[in-house]
Amino acid sequence: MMLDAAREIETERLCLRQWRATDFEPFCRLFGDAERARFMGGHGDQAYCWGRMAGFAGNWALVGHGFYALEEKEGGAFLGLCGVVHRFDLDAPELGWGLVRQAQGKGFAFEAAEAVRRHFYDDLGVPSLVSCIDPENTPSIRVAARLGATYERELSERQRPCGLYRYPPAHQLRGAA
Amino acid sequence: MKLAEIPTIETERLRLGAWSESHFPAIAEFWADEENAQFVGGACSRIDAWRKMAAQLGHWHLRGYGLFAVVEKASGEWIGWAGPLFPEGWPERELGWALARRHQGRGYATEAARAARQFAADSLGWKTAISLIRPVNEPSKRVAARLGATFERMDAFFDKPICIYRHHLT
Repeated sequence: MMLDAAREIETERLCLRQWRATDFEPFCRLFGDAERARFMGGHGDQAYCWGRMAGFAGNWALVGHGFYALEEKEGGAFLGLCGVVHRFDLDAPELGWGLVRQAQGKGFAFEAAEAVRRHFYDDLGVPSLVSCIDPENTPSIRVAARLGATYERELSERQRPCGLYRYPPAHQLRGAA
Repeated sequence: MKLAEIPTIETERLRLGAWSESHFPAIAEFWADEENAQFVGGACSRIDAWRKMAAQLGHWHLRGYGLFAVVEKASGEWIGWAGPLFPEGWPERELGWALARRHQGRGYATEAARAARQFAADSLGWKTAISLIRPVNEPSKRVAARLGATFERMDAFFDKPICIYRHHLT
Protein backbone atom coordinates (compact mmCIF):
# COMPACT_ATOMS: atom_id res chain seq x y z
CA MET A 1 0.00 0.00 0.00
CA MET A 2 1.55 3.25 -1.19
CA LEU A 3 1.58 5.95 1.46
CA ASP A 4 4.04 8.78 1.04
CA ALA A 5 5.42 9.72 4.43
CA ALA A 6 7.83 12.54 5.26
CA ARG A 7 11.38 11.35 4.71
CA GLU A 8 12.46 13.09 7.90
CA ILE A 9 10.75 14.04 11.15
CA GLU A 10 12.29 16.13 13.90
CA THR A 11 11.35 16.00 17.54
CA GLU A 12 12.80 17.83 20.50
CA ARG A 13 15.74 15.46 20.92
CA LEU A 14 15.58 13.22 17.85
CA CYS A 15 15.98 13.23 14.12
CA LEU A 16 13.99 10.48 12.41
CA ARG A 17 15.66 10.06 9.04
CA GLN A 18 16.47 7.73 6.13
CA TRP A 19 19.09 5.00 6.44
CA ARG A 20 22.78 5.44 5.70
CA ALA A 21 25.53 2.87 5.13
CA THR A 22 27.27 4.33 8.20
CA ASP A 23 24.36 3.18 10.39
CA PHE A 24 25.47 -0.38 9.79
CA GLU A 25 27.91 -0.74 12.66
CA PRO A 26 25.56 0.41 15.43
CA PHE A 27 22.70 -1.38 13.64
CA CYS A 28 24.69 -4.64 13.99
CA ARG A 29 24.99 -4.07 17.72
CA LEU A 30 21.21 -3.96 17.83
CA PHE A 31 20.36 -6.82 15.44
CA GLY A 32 23.41 -8.91 16.25
CA ASP A 33 22.43 -9.03 19.92
CA ALA A 34 20.08 -11.91 20.77
CA GLU A 35 18.66 -10.14 23.80
CA ARG A 36 18.06 -6.86 21.94
CA ALA A 37 16.72 -8.32 18.71
CA ARG A 38 14.45 -11.03 20.02
CA PHE A 39 11.43 -8.72 19.94
CA MET A 40 12.29 -7.48 16.45
CA GLY A 41 12.29 -10.64 14.38
CA GLY A 42 15.45 -12.17 15.78
CA HIS A 43 19.19 -11.62 15.66
CA GLY A 44 21.83 -12.88 13.24
CA ASP A 45 25.26 -12.49 11.69
CA GLN A 46 26.54 -9.59 9.60
CA ALA A 47 24.85 -10.79 6.43
CA TYR A 48 21.54 -11.12 8.27
CA CYS A 49 21.95 -7.65 9.74
CA TRP A 50 22.69 -6.22 6.30
CA GLY A 51 19.55 -7.85 4.93
CA ARG A 52 17.44 -6.43 7.72
CA MET A 53 18.87 -2.91 7.49
CA ALA A 54 18.61 -2.89 3.69
CA GLY A 55 15.06 -4.17 4.13
CA PHE A 56 14.14 -1.26 6.35
CA ALA A 57 15.72 1.17 3.90
CA GLY A 58 14.14 -0.42 0.84
CA ASN A 59 10.64 -0.57 2.25
CA TRP A 60 10.52 3.19 1.71
CA ALA A 61 11.15 2.79 -2.00
CA LEU A 62 8.46 0.14 -2.27
CA VAL A 63 5.58 1.76 -0.41
CA GLY A 64 6.74 5.28 0.49
CA HIS A 65 7.00 4.68 4.22
CA GLY A 66 8.61 2.34 6.72
CA PHE A 67 11.01 2.47 9.63
CA TYR A 68 13.08 5.58 10.17
CA ALA A 69 16.61 5.45 11.54
CA LEU A 70 16.65 7.31 14.88
CA GLU A 71 19.47 9.74 15.48
CA GLU A 72 20.07 11.75 18.61
CA LYS A 73 20.27 15.39 17.58
CA GLU A 74 22.92 16.13 20.15
CA GLY A 75 25.99 14.16 19.13
CA GLY A 76 24.40 12.36 16.17
CA ALA A 77 24.43 8.86 17.69
CA PHE A 78 22.33 6.11 16.09
CA LEU A 79 19.69 5.16 18.67
CA GLY A 80 17.51 2.66 16.87
CA LEU A 81 14.45 2.69 14.66
CA CYS A 82 10.81 3.71 14.66
CA GLY A 83 8.16 3.74 11.98
CA VAL A 84 5.06 2.30 10.39
CA VAL A 85 4.76 -0.86 8.31
CA HIS A 86 1.96 -2.98 6.87
CA ARG A 87 1.70 -6.60 7.93
CA PHE A 88 -0.20 -9.14 5.92
CA ASP A 89 -2.07 -10.40 8.98
CA LEU A 90 -3.19 -7.06 10.47
CA ASP A 91 -6.19 -4.85 9.72
CA ALA A 92 -4.31 -1.60 10.42
CA PRO A 93 -0.75 -0.38 9.85
CA GLU A 94 1.67 -1.22 12.64
CA LEU A 95 3.61 1.34 14.64
CA GLY A 96 6.92 -0.10 15.81
CA TRP A 97 10.19 0.88 17.44
CA GLY A 98 13.42 -0.54 18.82
CA LEU A 99 16.32 1.05 20.66
CA VAL A 100 19.98 0.28 21.24
CA ARG A 101 20.71 -0.63 24.84
CA GLN A 102 22.21 2.68 25.92
CA ALA A 103 19.21 4.65 24.59
CA GLN A 104 16.69 2.85 26.78
CA GLY A 105 14.92 4.43 29.72
CA LYS A 106 15.09 8.02 28.47
CA GLY A 107 11.72 8.32 26.77
CA PHE A 108 13.20 8.20 23.27
CA ALA A 109 10.85 5.46 22.03
CA PHE A 110 7.81 7.38 23.24
CA GLU A 111 9.09 10.62 21.74
CA ALA A 112 9.71 8.99 18.35
CA ALA A 113 6.54 6.89 18.26
CA GLU A 114 4.36 9.81 19.31
CA ALA A 115 5.78 11.98 16.50
CA VAL A 116 5.38 9.22 13.92
CA ARG A 117 1.80 8.55 15.00
CA ARG A 118 0.96 12.24 14.80
CA HIS A 119 2.39 12.43 11.26
CA PHE A 120 0.49 9.34 10.09
CA TYR A 121 -2.77 10.42 11.73
CA ASP A 122 -2.75 14.15 11.08
CA ASP A 123 -0.77 14.59 7.86
CA LEU A 124 -1.39 11.30 6.05
CA GLY A 125 -4.94 10.61 7.16
CA VAL A 126 -4.31 7.10 8.47
CA PRO A 127 -7.39 6.37 10.63
CA SER A 128 -5.90 3.88 13.10
CA LEU A 129 -2.68 2.17 14.13
CA VAL A 130 -1.76 -0.94 16.09
CA SER A 131 1.39 -2.42 17.65
CA CYS A 132 2.37 -6.07 18.07
CA ILE A 133 4.31 -6.59 21.28
CA ASP A 134 5.75 -9.70 22.89
CA PRO A 135 4.30 -10.17 26.40
CA GLU A 136 7.86 -10.25 27.79
CA ASN A 137 8.71 -6.90 26.21
CA THR A 138 7.77 -4.79 29.22
CA PRO A 139 9.48 -1.54 28.11
CA SER A 140 7.55 -1.50 24.82
CA ILE A 141 4.25 -2.38 26.50
CA ARG A 142 4.85 0.64 28.71
CA VAL A 143 5.51 2.88 25.71
CA ALA A 144 2.31 1.66 24.02
CA ALA A 145 0.36 2.29 27.23
CA ARG A 146 1.75 5.82 27.46
CA LEU A 147 0.47 6.33 23.92
CA GLY A 148 -3.00 5.24 25.02
CA ALA A 149 -2.99 1.79 23.45
CA THR A 150 -5.26 -0.95 24.76
CA TYR A 151 -4.54 -4.67 24.63
CA GLU A 152 -6.88 -6.40 22.20
CA ARG A 153 -5.90 -10.06 21.78
CA GLU A 154 -3.11 -12.56 21.34
CA LEU A 155 -1.89 -13.12 17.77
CA SER A 156 -1.62 -16.88 18.00
CA GLU A 157 -0.46 -17.45 14.41
CA ARG A 158 2.87 -15.69 14.96
CA GLN A 159 6.10 -17.60 15.58
CA ARG A 160 6.59 -15.83 18.89
CA PRO A 161 3.91 -14.88 21.38
CA CYS A 162 2.59 -11.49 20.42
CA GLY A 163 -0.07 -9.19 21.81
CA LEU A 164 -2.06 -6.89 19.55
CA TYR A 165 -2.36 -3.37 20.97
CA ARG A 166 -4.65 -0.78 19.40
CA TYR A 167 -4.20 2.97 19.68
CA PRO A 168 -7.12 5.35 19.95
CA PRO A 169 -8.19 6.20 16.39
CA ALA A 170 -7.13 9.47 14.83
CA HIS A 171 -10.49 11.22 15.26
CA GLN A 172 -10.53 10.47 18.99
CA LEU A 173 -7.04 11.85 19.56
CA ARG A 174 -7.91 14.96 17.59
CA GLY A 175 -11.07 15.35 19.63
CA ALA A 176 -9.06 15.16 22.82
CA ALA A 177 -6.45 17.69 21.72
CA MET B 1 17.62 12.38 1.77
CA LYS B 2 16.45 11.15 -1.61
CA LEU B 3 15.98 7.46 -2.30
CA ALA B 4 18.11 5.86 -4.96
CA GLU B 5 17.23 6.36 -8.62
CA ILE B 6 17.21 2.97 -10.30
CA PRO B 7 17.75 3.01 -14.07
CA THR B 8 15.83 0.84 -16.51
CA ILE B 9 17.66 -1.33 -19.01
CA GLU B 10 15.93 -2.96 -21.95
CA THR B 11 17.19 -6.06 -23.67
CA GLU B 12 15.55 -7.87 -26.57
CA ARG B 13 13.04 -9.73 -24.38
CA LEU B 14 13.55 -8.33 -20.88
CA ARG B 15 13.32 -5.18 -18.83
CA LEU B 16 15.68 -4.69 -15.89
CA GLY B 17 14.57 -2.03 -13.41
CA ALA B 18 13.35 -1.09 -9.95
CA TRP B 19 11.60 -3.60 -7.71
CA SER B 20 7.96 -2.74 -7.17
CA GLU B 21 5.12 -3.90 -4.98
CA SER B 22 3.32 -5.14 -8.11
CA HIS B 23 6.04 -7.81 -8.45
CA PHE B 24 5.36 -9.17 -5.01
CA PRO B 25 2.91 -12.01 -5.86
CA ALA B 26 5.50 -13.50 -8.23
CA ILE B 27 8.30 -12.86 -5.73
CA ALA B 28 6.40 -14.48 -2.86
CA GLU B 29 5.77 -17.48 -5.12
CA PHE B 30 9.48 -17.67 -5.94
CA TRP B 31 10.50 -17.71 -2.27
CA ALA B 32 7.79 -20.20 -1.29
CA ASP B 33 9.27 -22.79 -3.66
CA GLU B 34 12.26 -24.68 -2.27
CA GLU B 35 13.45 -25.67 -5.71
CA ASN B 36 13.57 -22.03 -6.83
CA ALA B 37 15.27 -20.83 -3.70
CA GLN B 38 17.70 -23.69 -3.10
CA PHE B 39 20.75 -21.83 -4.46
CA VAL B 40 19.92 -18.44 -2.94
CA GLY B 41 19.52 -19.28 0.72
CA GLY B 42 16.43 -21.48 0.71
CA ALA B 43 12.68 -20.98 0.77
CA CYS B 44 11.18 -18.54 3.26
CA SER B 45 7.93 -17.10 4.60
CA ARG B 46 5.91 -14.36 2.94
CA ILE B 47 7.09 -11.80 5.49
CA ASP B 48 10.72 -12.72 4.81
CA ALA B 49 10.05 -12.59 1.06
CA TRP B 50 8.84 -9.01 1.51
CA ARG B 51 11.94 -8.19 3.56
CA LYS B 52 14.18 -9.64 0.86
CA MET B 53 12.44 -7.62 -1.85
CA ALA B 54 12.70 -4.47 0.26
CA ALA B 55 16.34 -5.28 1.01
CA GLN B 56 17.19 -5.22 -2.70
CA LEU B 57 15.86 -1.65 -2.93
CA GLY B 58 17.68 -0.82 0.28
CA HIS B 59 20.90 -2.09 -1.22
CA TRP B 60 20.46 0.43 -4.05
CA HIS B 61 19.86 3.17 -1.51
CA LEU B 62 22.86 2.28 0.66
CA ARG B 63 25.38 1.40 -2.06
CA GLY B 64 24.10 3.30 -5.11
CA TYR B 65 23.71 0.09 -7.09
CA GLY B 66 22.12 -3.30 -6.62
CA LEU B 67 20.13 -6.11 -8.15
CA PHE B 68 17.57 -5.21 -10.82
CA ALA B 69 14.16 -6.80 -10.88
CA VAL B 70 13.88 -8.62 -14.21
CA VAL B 71 10.54 -8.51 -16.02
CA GLU B 72 9.57 -10.35 -19.18
CA LYS B 73 8.53 -7.63 -21.61
CA ALA B 74 5.89 -9.67 -23.43
CA SER B 75 3.94 -10.60 -20.28
CA GLY B 76 5.00 -7.87 -17.85
CA GLU B 77 5.71 -10.63 -15.36
CA TRP B 78 8.53 -10.57 -12.78
CA ILE B 79 10.78 -13.52 -13.57
CA GLY B 80 13.91 -13.03 -11.45
CA TRP B 81 16.81 -10.70 -10.82
CA ALA B 82 20.24 -9.75 -12.09
CA GLY B 83 22.74 -7.08 -11.19
CA PRO B 84 25.76 -5.93 -9.24
CA LEU B 85 25.71 -6.42 -5.48
CA PHE B 86 27.95 -6.12 -2.46
CA PRO B 87 26.17 -6.77 0.84
CA GLU B 88 28.09 -6.82 4.11
CA GLY B 89 29.75 -10.18 4.64
CA TRP B 90 30.40 -10.75 0.92
CA PRO B 91 33.97 -11.64 -0.07
CA GLU B 92 34.00 -9.25 -3.04
CA ARG B 93 31.70 -7.34 -5.36
CA GLU B 94 29.44 -9.74 -7.21
CA LEU B 95 27.43 -10.04 -10.38
CA GLY B 96 24.38 -12.07 -9.42
CA TRP B 97 21.33 -13.48 -11.14
CA ALA B 98 18.44 -15.85 -10.48
CA LEU B 99 15.43 -16.91 -12.46
CA ALA B 100 12.11 -18.42 -11.37
CA ARG B 101 12.05 -22.08 -12.30
CA ARG B 102 9.28 -21.91 -14.86
CA HIS B 103 11.15 -19.31 -16.89
CA GLN B 104 14.37 -21.29 -17.11
CA GLY B 105 15.72 -22.84 -20.26
CA ARG B 106 15.10 -19.94 -22.65
CA GLY B 107 18.30 -18.00 -22.21
CA TYR B 108 16.67 -15.33 -20.03
CA ALA B 109 19.28 -15.60 -17.26
CA THR B 110 22.11 -15.09 -19.73
CA GLU B 111 20.29 -12.19 -21.39
CA ALA B 112 19.69 -10.48 -18.02
CA ALA B 113 23.14 -11.22 -16.59
CA ARG B 114 24.81 -9.91 -19.73
CA ALA B 115 22.94 -6.61 -19.40
CA ALA B 116 23.89 -6.45 -15.72
CA ARG B 117 27.52 -7.14 -16.55
CA GLN B 118 27.53 -4.31 -19.07
CA PHE B 119 25.90 -1.97 -16.54
CA ALA B 120 28.60 -2.79 -13.96
CA ALA B 121 31.35 -2.15 -16.49
CA ASP B 122 29.92 0.95 -18.22
CA SER B 123 27.96 2.75 -15.51
CA LEU B 124 29.82 1.70 -12.37
CA GLY B 125 33.27 1.39 -13.89
CA TRP B 126 33.89 -2.01 -12.33
CA LYS B 127 37.02 -3.71 -13.65
CA THR B 128 36.33 -7.07 -12.07
CA ALA B 129 33.63 -8.95 -10.18
CA ILE B 130 32.94 -12.44 -8.97
CA SER B 131 29.89 -14.67 -9.12
CA LEU B 132 29.20 -16.99 -6.21
CA ILE B 133 27.67 -20.22 -7.51
CA ARG B 134 26.80 -23.38 -5.59
CA PRO B 135 28.71 -26.40 -6.96
CA VAL B 136 25.50 -28.22 -7.97
CA ASN B 137 23.95 -25.22 -9.69
CA GLU B 138 24.79 -26.30 -13.24
CA PRO B 139 22.47 -23.82 -15.01
CA SER B 140 24.19 -20.84 -13.34
CA LYS B 141 27.64 -22.22 -14.14
CA ARG B 142 26.62 -22.32 -17.79
CA VAL B 143 25.45 -18.70 -17.61
CA ALA B 144 28.80 -17.69 -16.09
CA ALA B 145 30.64 -19.50 -18.87
CA ARG B 146 28.52 -17.84 -21.57
CA LEU B 147 29.40 -14.44 -20.08
CA GLY B 148 33.10 -15.30 -20.36
CA ALA B 149 33.68 -15.72 -16.61
CA THR B 150 36.26 -18.29 -15.54
CA PHE B 151 36.29 -20.63 -12.56
CA GLU B 152 38.74 -19.27 -10.00
CA ARG B 153 38.50 -21.33 -6.81
CA MET B 154 36.32 -23.11 -4.30
CA ASP B 155 35.50 -21.35 -1.07
CA ALA B 156 32.99 -21.55 1.77
CA PHE B 157 29.97 -19.28 1.89
CA PHE B 158 27.42 -19.45 4.70
CA ASP B 159 29.09 -22.70 5.79
CA LYS B 160 28.60 -24.41 2.44
CA PRO B 161 30.98 -24.86 -0.48
CA ILE B 162 30.80 -22.27 -3.23
CA CYS B 163 32.44 -21.88 -6.65
CA ILE B 164 33.91 -18.49 -7.30
CA TYR B 165 33.79 -17.39 -10.93
CA ARG B 166 35.73 -14.34 -12.06
CA HIS B 167 34.52 -11.72 -14.53
CA HIS B 168 37.07 -9.46 -16.20
CA LEU B 169 35.10 -6.42 -17.20
CA THR B 170 37.65 -4.48 -19.23
